[in-house]
Amino acid sequence: MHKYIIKRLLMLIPVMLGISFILYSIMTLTPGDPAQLILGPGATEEAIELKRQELGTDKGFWEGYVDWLTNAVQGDFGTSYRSKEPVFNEVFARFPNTLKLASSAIILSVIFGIGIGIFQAVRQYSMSDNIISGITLVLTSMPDFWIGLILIIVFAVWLKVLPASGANHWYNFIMPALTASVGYTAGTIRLTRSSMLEVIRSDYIRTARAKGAAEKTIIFKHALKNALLPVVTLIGINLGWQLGGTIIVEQIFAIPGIGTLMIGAVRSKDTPLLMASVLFVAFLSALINLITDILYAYIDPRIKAEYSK
Amino acid sequence: MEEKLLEIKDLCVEYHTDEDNVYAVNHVDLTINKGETLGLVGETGAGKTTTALSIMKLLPIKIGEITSGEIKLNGSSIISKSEEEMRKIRGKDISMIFQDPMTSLNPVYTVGDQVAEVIKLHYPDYNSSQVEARVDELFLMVGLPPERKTEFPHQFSGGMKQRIVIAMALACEPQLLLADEPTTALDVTIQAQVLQMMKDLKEKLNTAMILITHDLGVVAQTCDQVAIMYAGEIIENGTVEDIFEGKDHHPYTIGLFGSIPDMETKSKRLHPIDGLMPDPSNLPKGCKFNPRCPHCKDICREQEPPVYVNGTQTIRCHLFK
Repeated sequence: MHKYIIKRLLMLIPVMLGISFILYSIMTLTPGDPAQLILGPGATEEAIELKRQELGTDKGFWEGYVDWLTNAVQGDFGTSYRSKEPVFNEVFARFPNTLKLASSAIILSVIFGIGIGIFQAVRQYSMSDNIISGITLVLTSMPDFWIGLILIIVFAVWLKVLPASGANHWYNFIMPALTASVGYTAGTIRLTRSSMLEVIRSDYIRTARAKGAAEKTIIFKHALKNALLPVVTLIGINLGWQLGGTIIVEQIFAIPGIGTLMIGAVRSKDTPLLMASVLFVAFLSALINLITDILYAYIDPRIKAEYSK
Repeated sequence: MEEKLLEIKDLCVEYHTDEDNVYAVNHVDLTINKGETLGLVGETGAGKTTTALSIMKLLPIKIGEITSGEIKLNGSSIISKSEEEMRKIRGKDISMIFQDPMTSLNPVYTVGDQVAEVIKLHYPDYNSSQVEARVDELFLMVGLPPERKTEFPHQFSGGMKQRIVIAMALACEPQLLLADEPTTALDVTIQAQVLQMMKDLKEKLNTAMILITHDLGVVAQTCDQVAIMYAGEIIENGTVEDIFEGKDHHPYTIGLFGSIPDMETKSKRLHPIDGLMPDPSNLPKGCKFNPRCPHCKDICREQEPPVYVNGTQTIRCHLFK
C-alpha cells in the first residue's frame, strides 16, 4: 500500500512536467505579446523591447522554458507580469474562496446525492421514485449559469434575502454553492440509484435476507458499501473539477476564485501566473485522484489486494 | 410415526410480469419429517427454487406472489407470519444455501464477520468472545482453518466458499435446510466432498433438508424422499426406493432416467426427452406433460390427471388407475 502511494506520487513528476511544457508552448507560441498588452497600443518600439527584457519574454522558446523550469524546481515560480507580486501570493489569496465554494458544493452533492439515491433505489418504480427521476433529469440538463441567474432573481432581487455577489461572508456562498452543486447532486443521485439497484439484486443480498437480517441492515451495511465504489469515483472527479474553479459560477456571483484568476491570466498573457495556478490546480486534482484510489482500497478488499502486489 | 416438520399444501406461486402471469408453482403438496432429506428434482424452470423461496418467504417483492396454499412449519403457518416474525425464522429455523457460492458472499466483509452476523442476529445475548468461539467451531466443522476467518471471500476457492456458506446456514442449527443446487457450481471432486460433508453434518445436527438438484446420482446418494417436479407440479413423489426401484413411474420420470448415459452399454447418442418444457405463462390444458409424453391419450389433453397412490409413492398421471 505504501509502495503504491509512493509510486503514484512519483508519477506526478512527469505529469507536472508535461503540463508545464504544454502550457508554456500554448502561451508563447500563440499570437499576442504580453509587453505590448501591458503598455497599450500607443507604446514605442523601444519601450516594448525594454518591457520584454524586463519580463524575460525576449528569450527564445527553449531558453525561456528551461529558465522557467530551473527557477521552478528551486521553488521560484516567478512574478506576475501585471501585479509584480510572486505568483503564488495571488494563487493563495484566491484559493480559499474556491475551496469554500468547492467543498460546500461537493458536501451538498454528497449528502443529497447519496441520500436521495438510496431512497429512490429502495422504492424503485414507486411514485416518488418516478417524480425524483424526472426532477433529476431536468436538473442535469439545466446549465448552471441559468440556475445561478434564476436564484439571483428569486433570492436577491425579489425576496432580497441573499446577496447577489461578493465573497466576504458565509452567506455569500449559499447561492453559488447551490448553483454549483445542482448538476453534481443530480449526477450523484442517478449514479447512486443505479448502482444500488444493481447491488440489491445480487446474490449476497439474498444471502443476507436469508440470514434474517433486517431491511435496514441489508441496505446500509450489505448493499451501500458495495454500491459506493462508482459513487466515490464520481465524487472525486467532481471535486477535482470544482477545485479547478467553476469559472461560470465565480463570474456570475463575482467571487474572486481560481477560475477567474486563470481566465484573467490567459487574457493578459500572464504566463507565470497562469502556469502557477494551473499547476497548482493540476496538483490538487492528482492528489484527489490518489485519495479516491486509496479510499477504494478501504471500501473493497479486492482492490486493496491489487495495490499491495 | 415420524414427526412432521414442514407441510406444504396446495401451494401456488405466480410471478407477475408486465406482459403476463407466470404460473411457477401449481398445487404443490410436500411433507418433510424431522431429520429427513427430500430431493426435489426437475429441469431448470420447473419451480424448484420458487418452492424453496416460498418456504423462506423470499420471493421477489411485488413480482412473486403466493396465490394460494398453506405452508406449515411445526404446525404453525408461515404464510400468515409478518415480515418481522419471518426474520426470526430465517437463518434460525430455516436456512438456505444458494446455487452459486462465488456470488453468495458479500465481497467487502470478511468471511468470519459474515458467519458471525447470523449468530449475532439470532443469539443477541452472546458476547463477542462467545460469537467468535462459535465461528471458530463452525469453521472447524466445515473443514476450514479458523485462522482464515479474517480473510475476504475473494481469497477462497469455490469449494471453500460453499463451505463458508454452509457454515453460515448451519450456524444456528436450523431444523430445515434448503439447499438449492449446492454443488452445481462446483467441480465434480469438490461436489462429492461437499455433499458428503453436508450429509454428515445433517445427521449430526438432525437437520431436515430439501435438496434441490437435477442430478439423480446425488439424489440416490443423499435423499430419503424424492419429489419430481415438472412445470410447477409434483408429478411423482416417493421414497428413494420407490423412485429408483419401484415398477410404476410417471413417463417423465422414465424419460429423466432414460436420459442418463449408461456407462455399460455402448451408445453413440444421448437419449433426451423430446421437446421442451412448456412456457409457464401458457401451460397446456390437461396433463402438463402431454405434448412430450410418448403415452399421450385423448384424456391427457382434456383433463388434469388424478393422483395415483401406491403405498408411499404418488404419481400424477392418467396411465394409472
